[in-house]
Amino acid sequence: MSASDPMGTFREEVGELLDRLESALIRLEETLDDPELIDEAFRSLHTIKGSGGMLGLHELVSFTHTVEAAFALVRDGHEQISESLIELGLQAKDQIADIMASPELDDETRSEGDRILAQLRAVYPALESARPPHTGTSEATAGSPSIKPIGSADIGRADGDHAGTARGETTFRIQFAPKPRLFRVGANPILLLKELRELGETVIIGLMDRLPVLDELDPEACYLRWDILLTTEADENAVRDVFIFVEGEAEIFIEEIDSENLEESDIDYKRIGEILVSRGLVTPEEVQQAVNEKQYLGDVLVEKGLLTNEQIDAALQEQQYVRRRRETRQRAAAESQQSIKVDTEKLDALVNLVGEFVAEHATLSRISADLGDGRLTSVSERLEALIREVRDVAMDLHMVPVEMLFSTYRRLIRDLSRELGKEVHLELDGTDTEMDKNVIERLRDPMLHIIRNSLDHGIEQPEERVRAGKPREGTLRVAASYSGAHVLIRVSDDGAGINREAVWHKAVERGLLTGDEELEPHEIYDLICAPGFSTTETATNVSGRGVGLDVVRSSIEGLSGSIHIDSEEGSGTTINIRIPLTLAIVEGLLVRVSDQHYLVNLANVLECIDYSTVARHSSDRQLIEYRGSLLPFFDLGAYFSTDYRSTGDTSEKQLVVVSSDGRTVGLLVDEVYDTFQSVIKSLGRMYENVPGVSGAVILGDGRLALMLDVDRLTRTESTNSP
Amino acid sequence: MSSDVLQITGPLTIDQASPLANSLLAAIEKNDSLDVDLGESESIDLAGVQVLLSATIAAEQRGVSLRYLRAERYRSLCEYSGFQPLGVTEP
Repeated sequence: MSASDPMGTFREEVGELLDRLESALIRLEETLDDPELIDEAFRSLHTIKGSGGMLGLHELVSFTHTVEAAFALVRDGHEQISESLIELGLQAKDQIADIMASPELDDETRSEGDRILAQLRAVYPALESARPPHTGTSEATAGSPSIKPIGSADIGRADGDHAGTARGETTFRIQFAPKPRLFRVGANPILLLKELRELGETVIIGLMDRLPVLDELDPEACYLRWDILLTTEADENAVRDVFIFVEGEAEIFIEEIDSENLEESDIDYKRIGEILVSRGLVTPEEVQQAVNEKQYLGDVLVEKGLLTNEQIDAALQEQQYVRRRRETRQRAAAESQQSIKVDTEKLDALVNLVGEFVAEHATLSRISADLGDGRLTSVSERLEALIREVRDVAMDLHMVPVEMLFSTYRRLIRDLSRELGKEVHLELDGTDTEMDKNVIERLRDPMLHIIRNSLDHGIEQPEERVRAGKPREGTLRVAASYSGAHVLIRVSDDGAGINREAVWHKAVERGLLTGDEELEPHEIYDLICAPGFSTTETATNVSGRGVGLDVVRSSIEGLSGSIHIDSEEGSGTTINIRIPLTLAIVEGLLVRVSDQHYLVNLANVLECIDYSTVARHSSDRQLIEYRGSLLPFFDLGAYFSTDYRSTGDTSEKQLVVVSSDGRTVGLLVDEVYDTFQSVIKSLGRMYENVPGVSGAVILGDGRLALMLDVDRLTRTESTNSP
Repeated sequence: MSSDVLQITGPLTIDQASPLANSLLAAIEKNDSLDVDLGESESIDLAGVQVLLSATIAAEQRGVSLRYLRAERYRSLCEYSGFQPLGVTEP
């Protein structure tokens, strides 16, 4: 993606805007009348329409215009928000996505668009007069009076996409005072106001200080006049052109009062007195005299009969408007200085390069140790410190909040719960928790499956819940939090929970258990993640067919993560997922067993013990006494029995104590080296199901080490333990 | 003095501005409370708006309570052109 690919940039932008729109609509459904959310929906549509217009996407612009107009009606208080608007808004979001996917519309897509617009017009008949705009022009405030009236109370309601854009906006003050004969010559000021609106954002202040009482009124004479603030990318000549046909029929003063190019960027703008002077309403001396009276300036000037309240009010509106424009501009400038958009592919490439950098340094470090040259060692150590810094910065760049993942589930839950006839309330927590973007991407499907399961099998039908003494509406909570180098994601529902007996019987039936085992509750729940296990006989559309939690578990384990289930029958189920913050670089402890090297994730290592010093438990099981209790351990060489040649000499052996999810075991190895940072490589399809290893790393000397899957190893050992 | 409802029919435009102003003035002078129903009027322009605004000032000066009913067009045009829709009390 680059600046030379406007369509690609636009697609990406629309994708983000549609996400924002959907999120606003779903939240709006809960609150129903949150002006900020209505505005957010409006602005998303408005920006899509504006950018689409510049690219000449007529179908997109035409469709989006009417949808936007519907939200404008609500935003401006002319219509009430309704569930129909939210539903149609969501359908419109899908429609826009379809149009973007294939701008050459087929008949089906076109008729779907027509259906949505027809339904919108049925809900809001005022939309009948929402004309499709001309594409390629600014449509910021265009529209018929019935669609988007902007009154004197509208001050400073900046459309987000107009505020602070980089195209050099100028704000003009236009004082337009028609002569009394204006109406008689057939001129219509409304058309002039409309033209000004088409140029940009406006604040229109009608002044009636010259309007006489009815007895003295000549009904055909024009007494009204206007102060207009216009922020536009057009130049002064274009603004003057609006008045070209009424130049002889009115006094027109146009003055530039603010500009993006102004060096003076003080947010404060002018004082009221200065504005009144610049408007030619009072002299500096009169202002000074009024200031000397030490009362509110406006009151004094009105009291003295120099000005009307309306004129003071107009000056105040100007002051507030310009201040707000400047604030928005400064904020936008600050934001643009603080952040730039970078293609994710470039970020991925950077993180991968940093990973390679780390691995290469391991080679250098090894050579420097072999050579024993102090100067080389010193350089290598300084380089290592620098690489750590570069790694941390690169990793930080790659982190995104889990909100990115969680927010996509709102729509899913809304649609699924309707499909299933269930009432479900979604609670999100810890959405600002950050994780590696690639990890988040790979969590998307497993999480989706878990959430679908909760909705399908966990949360009961409303009537069933009421019978069980629960609220009709079920709650699904998705929460994230940090835990060291990991993130914990918890998906919990207050549904029916898991029937352990049913799981047990099914496991026996499937041959997963003999029926003689005595299992702890969590071990029974673990069975649900066994391949092919399913307790519901009929698959539904929601949870899918044939794919069970075993796939979810292997996906999570593929991310060096773990999953475990807690449940209480009748009260609900919680799925706990523990996942590393990043997959790109892992810091591990390098160990050797026979002539094979293994890497143990440092996050799992508790300590290393000299095996010759440990007290073996008297039983024949592999147990040692460890910190006052018994610790199971196993010989890694025996576990990976291929070509294992035990030396029989245990005096040099080390016991690496590791822990995962509260399960602790010892791993007996021949030798422990130093810690080692590395990029984890996938094992490939042939080896991806080998138990106990989750990946491979290249060592400094070019040899391969296997990354141990500590979670699986501790699970295996605890299952085998008494 | 009494209260009255004045029904306005026909356009509220420059062509009808004079008769409109006359009817309103006469009604304001006769009543201390006046409701003006604009619902049957089909169109409005700024000359019409100007008469209606001016009538509210006349009413206020005379202590007459003046309200415009079914005044969506009036309100909409006032808001579009930057004026407070004086006399409109309906939400």
